[in-house]
Amino acid sequence: MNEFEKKITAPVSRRVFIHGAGLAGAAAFLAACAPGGGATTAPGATVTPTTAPGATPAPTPEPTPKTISGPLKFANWTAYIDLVGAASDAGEYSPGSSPAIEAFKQKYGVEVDYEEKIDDNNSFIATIKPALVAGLATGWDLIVITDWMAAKVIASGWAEKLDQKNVPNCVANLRDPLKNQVWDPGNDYHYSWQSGMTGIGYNTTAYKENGLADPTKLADLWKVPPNKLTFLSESRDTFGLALLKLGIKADPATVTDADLQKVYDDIKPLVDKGLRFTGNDYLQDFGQKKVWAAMVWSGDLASSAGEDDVFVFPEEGTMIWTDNMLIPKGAANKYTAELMMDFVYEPEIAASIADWIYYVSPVKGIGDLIKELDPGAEENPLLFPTDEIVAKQQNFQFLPEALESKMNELFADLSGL
Amino acid sequence: MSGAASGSPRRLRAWRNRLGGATPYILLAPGILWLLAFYIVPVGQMFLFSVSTGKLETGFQLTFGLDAYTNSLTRYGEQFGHSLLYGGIATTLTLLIGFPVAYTIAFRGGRYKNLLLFLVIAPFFTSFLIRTISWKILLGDEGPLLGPLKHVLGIIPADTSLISTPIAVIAGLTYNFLPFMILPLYVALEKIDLRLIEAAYDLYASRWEAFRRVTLPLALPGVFAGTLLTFIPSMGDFVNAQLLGSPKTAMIGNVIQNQFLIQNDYPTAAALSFVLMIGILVTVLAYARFLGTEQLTG
Amino acid sequence: MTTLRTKPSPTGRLMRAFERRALPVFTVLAIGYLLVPIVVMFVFSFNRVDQTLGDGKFNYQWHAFSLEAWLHPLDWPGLGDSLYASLWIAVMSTIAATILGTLIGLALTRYAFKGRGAINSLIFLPMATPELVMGSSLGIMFVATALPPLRDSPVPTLFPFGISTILIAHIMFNISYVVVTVKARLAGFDRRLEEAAMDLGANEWTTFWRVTFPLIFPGIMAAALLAFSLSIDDFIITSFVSGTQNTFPIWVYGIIRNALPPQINVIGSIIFLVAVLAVASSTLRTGRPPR
Repeated sequence: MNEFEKKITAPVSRRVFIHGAGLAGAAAFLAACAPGGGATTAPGATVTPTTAPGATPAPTPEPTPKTISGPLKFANWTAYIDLVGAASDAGEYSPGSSPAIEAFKQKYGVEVDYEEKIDDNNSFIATIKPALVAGLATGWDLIVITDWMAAKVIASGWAEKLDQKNVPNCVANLRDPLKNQVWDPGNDYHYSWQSGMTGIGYNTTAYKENGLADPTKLADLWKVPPNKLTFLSESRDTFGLALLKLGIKADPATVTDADLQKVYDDIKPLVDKGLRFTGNDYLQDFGQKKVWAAMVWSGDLASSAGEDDVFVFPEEGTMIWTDNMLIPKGAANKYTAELMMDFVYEPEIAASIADWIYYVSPVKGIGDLIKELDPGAEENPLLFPTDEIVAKQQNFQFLPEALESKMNELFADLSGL
Repeated sequence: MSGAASGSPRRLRAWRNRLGGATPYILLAPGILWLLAFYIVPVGQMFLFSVSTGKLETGFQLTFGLDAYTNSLTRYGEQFGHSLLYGGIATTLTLLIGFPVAYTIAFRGGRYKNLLLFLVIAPFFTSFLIRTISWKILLGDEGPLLGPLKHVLGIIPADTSLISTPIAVIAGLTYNFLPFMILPLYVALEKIDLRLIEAAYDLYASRWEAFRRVTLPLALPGVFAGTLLTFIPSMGDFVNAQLLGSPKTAMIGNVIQNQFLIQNDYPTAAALSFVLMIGILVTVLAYARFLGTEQLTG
Repeated sequence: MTTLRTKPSPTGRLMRAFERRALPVFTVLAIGYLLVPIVVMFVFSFNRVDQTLGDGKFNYQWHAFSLEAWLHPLDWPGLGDSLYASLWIAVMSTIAATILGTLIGLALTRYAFKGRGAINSLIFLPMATPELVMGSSLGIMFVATALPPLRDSPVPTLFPFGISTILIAHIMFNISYVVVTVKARLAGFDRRLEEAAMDLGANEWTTFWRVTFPLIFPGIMAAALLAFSLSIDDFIITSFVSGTQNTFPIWVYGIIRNALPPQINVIGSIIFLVAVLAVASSTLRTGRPPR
């Protein structure tokens, strides 16, 4: 019996051993191929949070190490960089990629993970808020958020202080009107990405087919069937424009709760008939011919929609705002992020980006460069708003707390969530 | 384990008995611990959050207050109603469509049974998102369905829109969960002994009577399983409502997702999730009682 | 079959006609309805969506036939990485869940022990819970481990979200499905084969590996396939615990706001074809349809 047993068991143990070794090897190989890198692979990897959450930031920035680490995780809004790449250029750029980013990658030899993840300030910040509150890395190195949110993020101590020596282009080329913001006077934490305006976008073909006169005033939006209309999920833009439509100056200092209530009463009937609120997804709606008109941000239709989707500066005025680059606290690749900020302030790069996205560049003196790049573009009011348009721009960004909560409450009721 | 060359069968059996008591627990341990740690504990934690108050920035305190429940139920009652309504209609539709299909495959399938079953589950071989996006294309305002109806035949007005209406959401839910209804129905129907139906005929039953009094009751376990597999996920769905609907068609799933990811309002999200879970459990138990079947677990 | 049956009444004849004619037609229509989106997905993968030619960025309307997407299926930024992440997570979670689930299945079918009913219910619960609830509760728990008071306790901090948190979630929901599938296969297993092996002198270990395991292997494979496909396609639970890490469904969901590249249809079609081939080949190999 023993001999018999030995015969049966011996080959098994050898086989078991080989199998076991093979499995262990396979397991090691699989573990090594784990995708992703940097702070997001290991749970609980606190990537050098420099200060405890909520504490005031250090008075002088720590000297940033000069190693270029990557990949740079860069979150931005849709259609906000020159995503020119197309099938016809398949040799050079793959579809959906950006020459500016490719140039950055070649210059510094580092990978860039550019994602158009931001659709709405609130939703985006909410995705990283738990990490910020806990003092952990958010997974992003560079984000672009609008003035009012940037102010809040900086005030909460959630932005990394910039090392100005790493961003000489930004220091030299930032346009004067954008300097000395109340919420960050020395540009310690941010540099502007682009400025833009909110106005009316519409599809000329749909209007013609349905016998509607081209819109020139905000009130014209109310004439469109509400299920073919969208407003913006950014409450400041929607309420701001709606105040203008009612003839009320959209000035945070003078707007009252009663004014906001009037706006609510004006928009509610549209919501009941099918009005929706979107972020950049109005681009998708225009692409699907789902909407005939919408409140839109100035550059998007020109850069990313069809030939017959047009932006119009409403007679009553437009909302002006600026989006800003910030480095969230605990970013793994801070130096690389600073290099990126510096890179996009080089006049050639800034010109090429602005020419593609049709927004107002924060970089000084690119008018001539744009003329060379794209003759005629220097006359484009989207890039260089005329004085007439500038005079009617309204800034409804920074609201006192009580007004803001009232607006959020009314807006939540309108938008259904 | 003791050495490879064990002793006599008697020693083997004794050793097996000694270990036998503990073996099941050893086998169970890793998996059950995982489930405990990552299913039971989170649900318990969620309950604790639902009775807490506070915000993300300022911290959460366990106050055992029911504010989150009362607030969320009053504020989001409409969305709960949507979930019940759309989920219920979608489940009914899948039953109405699925039962004839399962019946045909089971009783009339013959050689093609497996091919037909394969075609029924074929949609699962593509991503759920991609399938829903395909519906977005199909139901689009100028898409292959509405386009011709509007412009070629001219029978519906030009500003009709299916996307962003409850109809599209229900259509999406029905489509996505139809195979979940067909498969259990098929399994139940296929198990029916044909001789029982024969016997019914022999006893002068008409076809309809035989169906009603033999086939249908025997298929009830399948109906029950299929309804569960359809109703439960559709109650918690938010993807269909998001891609095919509008804020007005928001289901409770959209609210929970919004509260958790965007508002960071964990107490409200937790309270709503809990209400959803309890609601489903109650509905399932009541349904089981109604059908008279106790077949809950396998 | 017998001659005692009464003559079919008009309703009976109607029903028979209905059953013979209408039902098959209805079934064919229903199956067609099930397959329409797949056809749409496949057809639109050959659509040309070239921005420089004015097609816009969305694959919603037919523009022109083009093989571009098929020639460059991974060419969209982020697509390749997210697909790789999805595959890696699916493989790892399948392995883990299959092992854990098979062990549980073995324990449940072959041993009688105290608490068996409770364990059965525990296994059933995740399948009866909406994915939404599982996802949000896991997400809340992971966040809680990073905030006081749990942050300062010995409990490991399972935050920020990333590959690991997604993996944990996928293993969790896969276990139940594996257990149910394996149990179904184990139920029909003949214990006498094991006893015969033992009578021939094999010990427990040998018996398991050379008799039991090969026989239940098809059931384990079926469970593994199920777990793999559930993991690869999972969206709802993943969306709560993925953070900045993209899996393929998450990536698709994120990009459809801005663009709908035909590459998505290509990947979907490839996955579909691979699955069909897998099922077809297993059918041909066993000579029997898989159950």
